[in-house]
Amino acid sequence: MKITPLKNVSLVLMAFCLMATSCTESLESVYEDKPIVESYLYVGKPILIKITRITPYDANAPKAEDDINNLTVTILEGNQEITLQPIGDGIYESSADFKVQESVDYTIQFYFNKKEVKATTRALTKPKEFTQSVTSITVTVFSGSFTGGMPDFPDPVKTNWSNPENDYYLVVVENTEENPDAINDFGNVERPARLFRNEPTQTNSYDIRAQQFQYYGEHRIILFHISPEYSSLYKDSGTTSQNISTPPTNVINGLGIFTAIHSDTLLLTVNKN
Amino acid sequence: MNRICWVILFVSVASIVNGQTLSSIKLDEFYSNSFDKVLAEISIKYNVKFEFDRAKLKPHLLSDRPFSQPLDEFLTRWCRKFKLKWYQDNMKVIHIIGRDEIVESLAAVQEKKKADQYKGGATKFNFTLSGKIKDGTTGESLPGATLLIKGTTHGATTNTDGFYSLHKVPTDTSTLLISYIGYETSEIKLNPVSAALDFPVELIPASQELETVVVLAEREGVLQTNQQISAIKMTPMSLSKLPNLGERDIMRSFQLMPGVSAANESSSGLFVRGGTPDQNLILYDGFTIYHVDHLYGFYSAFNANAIKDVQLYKGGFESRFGGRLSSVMEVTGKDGNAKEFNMSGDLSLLSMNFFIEAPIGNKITTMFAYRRSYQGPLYNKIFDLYNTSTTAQSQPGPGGGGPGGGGPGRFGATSSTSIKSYFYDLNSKISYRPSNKDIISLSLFNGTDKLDNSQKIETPSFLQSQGINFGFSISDLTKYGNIGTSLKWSRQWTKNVYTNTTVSYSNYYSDRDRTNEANISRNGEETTFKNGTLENNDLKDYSFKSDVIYDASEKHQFMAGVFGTHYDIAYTYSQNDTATILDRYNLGNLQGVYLQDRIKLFNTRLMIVPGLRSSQFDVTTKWYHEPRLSLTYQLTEKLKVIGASGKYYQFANRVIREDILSGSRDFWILSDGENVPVSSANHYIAGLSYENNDYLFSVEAYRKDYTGLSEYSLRFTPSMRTTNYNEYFYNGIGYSKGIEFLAQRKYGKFNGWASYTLARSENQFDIYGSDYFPAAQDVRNEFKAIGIFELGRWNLSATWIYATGRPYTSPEGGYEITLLDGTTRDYISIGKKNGERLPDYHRMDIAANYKLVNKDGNNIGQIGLSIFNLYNRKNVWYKEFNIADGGVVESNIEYLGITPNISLSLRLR
Repeated sequence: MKITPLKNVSLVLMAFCLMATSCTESLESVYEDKPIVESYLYVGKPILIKITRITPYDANAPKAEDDINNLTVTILEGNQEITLQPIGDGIYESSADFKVQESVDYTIQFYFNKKEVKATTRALTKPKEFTQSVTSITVTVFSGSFTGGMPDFPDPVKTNWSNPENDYYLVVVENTEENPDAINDFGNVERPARLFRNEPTQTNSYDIRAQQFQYYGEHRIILFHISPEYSSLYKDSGTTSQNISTPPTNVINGLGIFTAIHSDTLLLTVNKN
Repeated sequence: MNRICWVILFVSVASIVNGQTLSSIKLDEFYSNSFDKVLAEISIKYNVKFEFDRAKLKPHLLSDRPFSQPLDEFLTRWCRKFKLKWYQDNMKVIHIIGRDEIVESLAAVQEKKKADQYKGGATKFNFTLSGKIKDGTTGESLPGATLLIKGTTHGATTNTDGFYSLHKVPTDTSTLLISYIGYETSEIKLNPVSAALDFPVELIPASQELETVVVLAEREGVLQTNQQISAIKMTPMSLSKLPNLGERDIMRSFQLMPGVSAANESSSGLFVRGGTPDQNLILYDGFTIYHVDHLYGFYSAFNANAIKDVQLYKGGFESRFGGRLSSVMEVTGKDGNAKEFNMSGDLSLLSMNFFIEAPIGNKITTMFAYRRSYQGPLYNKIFDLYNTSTTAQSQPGPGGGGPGGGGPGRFGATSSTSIKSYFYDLNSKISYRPSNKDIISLSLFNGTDKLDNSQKIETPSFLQSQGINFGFSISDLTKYGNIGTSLKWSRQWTKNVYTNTTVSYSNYYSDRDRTNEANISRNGEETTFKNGTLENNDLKDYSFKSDVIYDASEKHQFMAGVFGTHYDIAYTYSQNDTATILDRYNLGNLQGVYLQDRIKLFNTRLMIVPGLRSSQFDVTTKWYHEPRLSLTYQLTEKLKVIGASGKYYQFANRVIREDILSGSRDFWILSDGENVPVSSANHYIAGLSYENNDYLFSVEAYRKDYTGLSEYSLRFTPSMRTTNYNEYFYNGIGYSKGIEFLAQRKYGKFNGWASYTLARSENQFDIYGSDYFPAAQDVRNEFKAIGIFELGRWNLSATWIYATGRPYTSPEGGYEITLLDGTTRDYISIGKKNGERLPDYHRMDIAANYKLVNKDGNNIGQIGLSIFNLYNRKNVWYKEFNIADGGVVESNIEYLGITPNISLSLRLR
């Protein structure tokens, strides 16, 4: 007598569970094909943009019908409208005599997958008062024998520029030699890249430490004045289902970057000891 | 009389003042006679008094030859055989009665004697009875205990200090039934003498039962769900019956209740009816606790030894609570034993727990509890689960390169990880009762975690001898905690008026240090390079509140109060210890009043509680009005209908970052009315329950509509001049709805419950589009079954939880972009937000506890074995995505596998 109500209830509960779990929702992630816009507008140069597509992980994902090489891409410079010409591989360019001007707003626009893809950026000013503390440094190799006493690290190369408005800047140091001498012996390990950079910063200085150089010879120090949307490309977009997030982009209905940059360059020589 | 006794009490034999104990009387001869005659022989020889109904005992023939057997054992054996039972009252008289008869408590026995002597009729009619309900052994007041006039639905409940006021008691010879979860229900017959005074009742805890007395037919269960709307009540002493993961944990136990999501190992906060843990108000002795996690959320910061009572209101809560959108958890700490000194200690594979309580004189009681973890196998297992999954991830930002020379590893440098991680809790309280009517108490709470996963790489000795020293240390240090204190004064002015005033301070702080530091010193000159992130959140809450309860009549009980809180919240996030990215400092004041009336109509069958709570928040300078209404209607004695509705606002929000890699797991911010709006919710609840002596079946449906939800994202916005971090709070709306079924067997050797919830929780944020997407905590189906089996001193329990998977966002494709420096970088494009589901979660836990009894027969502790995740189900916590060669590789990061735990607890009394 005691057991029956419990049994009844269990049966009812089980029936409910069966009913509920059988109504599983069919969640279909609808794949939306989007274009990737990659474009850096250099002040004083013509416009060159690259449009590509996403490579979907699911090979059966529906792709848009548009041909990546046959889109109608327009750029708005203030009130003027310029059409870009496709030259294949998804690359579009303006005419050679067109030059990006400082402090002007540019908007890109085209249609893809029945949606209007749009992005806006403002051409930045040239970095001001870009200076370096020295024009050459001498780097000692940190040999493994330790008999020669302590290694002598030279002072870092201090670069400075004017940044009263806390804009974003990026410093890239690049070796310009054709076949540069490596500072350290890498043996069979793959040689490191010829350039290195810092993280986009809002400060007005950057110290290049002697240890960062991998090669001897002539180097270029390029200071880029970048926009916030570019610096966000350096941020992680996450690798787990907990932190994965939409990659930062200023392209509406698309992905990628459409940004204007300006730069200034200084030269530096790295000498052997 | 009903064969099945659902109320059984018995008297503690431990109170022996003088003379011999029953166990010291050793029987050592041959007995062969009817039971009544055998007892008469024993009575004469050993000078023991018996009382029994001769007619009941005469038919039973006893033939035995005990060899030095103690009398109590002898009686137990033979009573059991004859289907009788015995008990000894405080006059040392041994009573023999039928096994199924009700035995009254010690106090009641005395009253009964007096009452029995009172043969006259009632003298008073329809009067008010008031007094206090306390624990019979420690003198602790019992909040939320219920008194019921036997045979009716007319009753009252005690307030937080154990005071009650029962109106319209029919006569002063009525019988009262008094019950409280975890204690033996008491049946008391009034008489004019006792009813005229303050009528105190002392209940005996169920765990005080003795081995020597006949096994009880029924036992009290673990949870009480049907007293108030959408409320669950639990006492920590009954928690020891449930399986645990190293610790008796209140929050984890609440997760076994219907309406609270259980498939959560990484957060001890409660997800109540589709709400998030920050929408749950946690009050401890009157002050708010902002953070309840220990050890990454595996345990909660509540030391069960220090807590007397916990009540969880899952929704539709009364106007005296406010400031949160979903639920309220009200924790009442122990006051301390008012009768005698007691101490206890617990030891498990995870922590040590020490508890001491003592009265000082007649008017002061004190209580102190301390719990600390030690780095044993269980702590390390959980710690590693959270940290091995992080070491694989990249350290903050690509920098300009570390110290040169090819890195420390090439030179045989040593890396050491000195892990000094721990958590501790400290609870203490001192209560002073200057008079019968007043109680002043000071309560202190401190729960702190220190999690250290730092590493240090030292210079090898041969370099040190050259005068070169370099060190590279990776700090990964998290320190957080909650400190709270409250000073409370409560006074029972008259039988009808009670006030309660509290002044409190609560501080939550969280420091996260994830920096890399490299220092090189040569010739005494030291250069340090430091980069990484430092995060600090500091919340201070100064509060005042005062409530008054006025029992106007048996139809109206008014409750009103004023409250005020001053918030002081600071949050800083800096990179490289020089560049401060975020520096937020909020001050805010919240003050208000509330008023409600508990109206009982139709002979107390219908109870309506309308209320209004109004607050003014000075940051937005607006008034927020929260009307509330709840009703319960007793259709029949067993069938009850409930409904509740209300509006709720929340002013302080907790932003949770599930990703523990990128910073502290959560931080609190104050609404500012623009980027972080004041959020609000509307609750609608309806339910039906059927309850008889043994069982409870209930169905409850709810719906909550939210506005002003915020989602946080630390990213850059396309804004030209300044990186405006406030724009990263995306605002949206949401809802959650569901229906809960509960079937509970409340009493018996085998008791427990099963619950099933069907629910849906969705949000809509403009930034993600105009469609609703599943909220991160959306669980469609959840089924839980808990069974507790009591067999003598053994207590076996098992729980099984099944929940369908939570949603997650998965990547759907990849692309690459060439950066300015010529390098190309891979990116992933993600699919629909929360469009996928993790696999289903299920696990089973079991526990076996054995009560330890001292020579007097008192329960002085227990030893238990618990196995978490018995069949080692690999439940997925989150997924990790690795992009390789144009494809994505998904790997599952799993929760804890099978984890056994042993615990031992001992106490003096």
